[in-house]
Amino acid sequence: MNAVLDVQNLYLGVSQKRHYSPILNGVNLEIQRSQIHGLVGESGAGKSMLAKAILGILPSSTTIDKGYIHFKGNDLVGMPRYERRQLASRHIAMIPQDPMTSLNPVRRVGNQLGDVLRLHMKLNRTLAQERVLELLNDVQIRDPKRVVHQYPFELSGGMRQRVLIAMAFSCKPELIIADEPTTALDVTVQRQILQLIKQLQSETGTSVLFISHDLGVIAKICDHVSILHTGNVVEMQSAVNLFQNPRHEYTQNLLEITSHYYRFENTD
Amino acid sequence: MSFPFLLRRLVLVIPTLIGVSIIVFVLLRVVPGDPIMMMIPPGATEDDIDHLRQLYGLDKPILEQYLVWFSEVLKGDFGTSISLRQDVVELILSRLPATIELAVAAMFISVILGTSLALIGTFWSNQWPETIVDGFTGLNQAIPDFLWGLIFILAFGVLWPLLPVSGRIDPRINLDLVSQFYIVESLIRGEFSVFLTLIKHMIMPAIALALPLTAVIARSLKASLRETMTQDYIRMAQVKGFGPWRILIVEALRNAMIPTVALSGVQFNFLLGGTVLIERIFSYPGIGNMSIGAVIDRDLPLIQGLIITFAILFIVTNLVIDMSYRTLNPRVRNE
Repeated sequence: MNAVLDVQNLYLGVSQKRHYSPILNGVNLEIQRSQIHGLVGESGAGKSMLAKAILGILPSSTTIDKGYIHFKGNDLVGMPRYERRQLASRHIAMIPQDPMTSLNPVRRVGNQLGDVLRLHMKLNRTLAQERVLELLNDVQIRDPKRVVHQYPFELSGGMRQRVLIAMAFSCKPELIIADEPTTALDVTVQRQILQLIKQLQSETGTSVLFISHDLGVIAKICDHVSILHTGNVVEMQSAVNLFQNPRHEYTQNLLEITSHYYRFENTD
Repeated sequence: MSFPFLLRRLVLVIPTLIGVSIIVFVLLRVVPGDPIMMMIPPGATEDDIDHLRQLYGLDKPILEQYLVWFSEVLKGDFGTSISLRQDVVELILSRLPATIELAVAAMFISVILGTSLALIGTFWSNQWPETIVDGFTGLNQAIPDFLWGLIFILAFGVLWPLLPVSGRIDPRINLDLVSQFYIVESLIRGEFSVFLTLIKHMIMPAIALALPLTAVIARSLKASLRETMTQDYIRMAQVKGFGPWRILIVEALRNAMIPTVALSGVQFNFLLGGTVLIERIFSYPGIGNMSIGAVIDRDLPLIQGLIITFAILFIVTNLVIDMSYRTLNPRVRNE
C-alpha cells in the first residue's frame, strides 16, 4: 500500500442545542504518494469538514463518531491534541481558501514564514531568514528582500496566496490540503496559482488533496478525483477516466451541468 | 513613528491648553466663594478687605485679570498661592512626582493584571477559570476606586494591620533623597529598605486606583481575544503546529490589543481623575490631595495651576497611548 493518507468509513456530525445533523456518512478516501487528488462536491457536501477533520481543526460542536484517518501508520482520530500536533503538523500543511485573512495582519511576512521554519526545520534565525528568501523566490515573488519586511495588507491577494503556498511547501510536507485555494482570486491570478501549485508539487513529490467545486479546475491539475455527494464519496476514478466515463449518476449530472455552463459562458 | 505626526499633535496642545485655562479662569470666578473671605481674620474692616482685593488684583474685570495672569504664565510664573503663600509652580513641582509615581504604578498594575486575566479567561474559555475572571471583572466594574480604598484601609489597616494607611513614607525615616521621585531614586541608589517602605505605603492606593481599570481592560481584551481566536490566521497557526499559549500571545494578543489600547486612553484619564479622591483617603501628598485643599480654600492661583497640570498630564497620557496604538497597528503607522 502506497497511500499517504487513508480515510476509512468516516462518520462526522454537528450537534447544536441537542439537535444532531450528520455531515459525513462513511467517507472513504485514499491519497497516493506524489499525486494530486481532487475532491469535488457542491456547497454543503462536507468537503471542508473532511479537510478540517484531517487537519485536526474541527469546530468544538463537531464530532467524529466513527472511522479512521490513517497517517504514517497512526490513527489521527482520537489522538490527544499534543501528540497529534507533534506527529502531523510538520507533515500535513494547508493552503487556505482566503489568502486575505489567512496571514496575521500585524506581523511581517518574513517573520511569519521564518517562525514555521524555526519550529519544524530547527533552523536558527539567520538560516531561517535566508531560507525564507529562497522560498519566496520559488513561488515567483519578485523582490523577496522587500516582501519579507512587508505586512500582509501591503500585498495583493495573489501575492499573499503565493506567500501561503511558500509556507505550505516550506517544511517539505508529505501532504498538502488545498481547500479551494483559488476561489477568492480573480481569474487570471487563478491560473497562475494553479500552475504554481502543480509545478511545486511535481518538483517536490508532495501529495495534494485539492478541494474544489469547479470541475474545470480539477480537470487541469488532478491525477485522481473523488466525488463527494451528501456526505459520501460516490465515485473515485483517475481524472482521465472520470471525465470520459463517469459511472455514478450524480457525476454524470455534474459533468453535464458544467459543460452547459462552459458553453453558456463561451457564447457570452 | 513618523515625526510630522508627533509635531502635529504637539502643535495642537497649545490651543487645548489655552482653552482649558479660559474655562477654568471663568468658572472659578463665576462659582460662589470668595478667596478673600477665606483669608481675612475675624473682625477685619471693609478697608482691609478692599486692600487685599487690590493686592491680589481681584478688583479688576475678568478679562484684565486673565490677561495679566496669562502674560505671567507665559514667563513661567503661575503666581503665589493665596492660602499657602508660596510660589504655585514650586508647590506643584514638589507634589507632582508623588502623583506620577502613584498613577504609573496603578496603570502598570492594571495593564499587567487586566491582560493576564483576559489571557486566562480566553485560554480556558467556557471553563471555570473564565467564570472566575468574569465574576472578578463584573465586581470591579461595579465598585469604584474610593470604595476599594476604604475597604483596604478597614481590612489591612485596621482589622489586620499589615500596611500603613496614610502618607507616602514612614516619617521616622531620615530621608536624604534629592528628587521627589522617591521610588525611582531609592531604586537607583540601591536603598532597598527605603524602597520597601515606599512600596508598602503605595500598594493600597495603587491597587484601589487600578482595580476598576483592570476590569475594563480585562473585559474589553477578553472580548476582542475571543473574536480574534476565530480568525483564519489563528486556524493557520494551529495547522502549522504552534502551541496554544504561543498562538494566544504571539498571534492573537497583538491583534486583540489594538481596540483595547484605544479604549484605555480614555480610561487612563479616569484613573488620573481618581487620584484626587484616593490621595485624599490615604493622605497621600500628591497634587490630587492638594487640589481638594486648594478648592476648599478658594485658592484661585493654585487651582488654576493644578488644573493646567492635570490637563498636561491628560494630554501626555493620550499622546503616549496614540503613539503605542500606531506602533501596534501597522496599517495606520505610515499615514
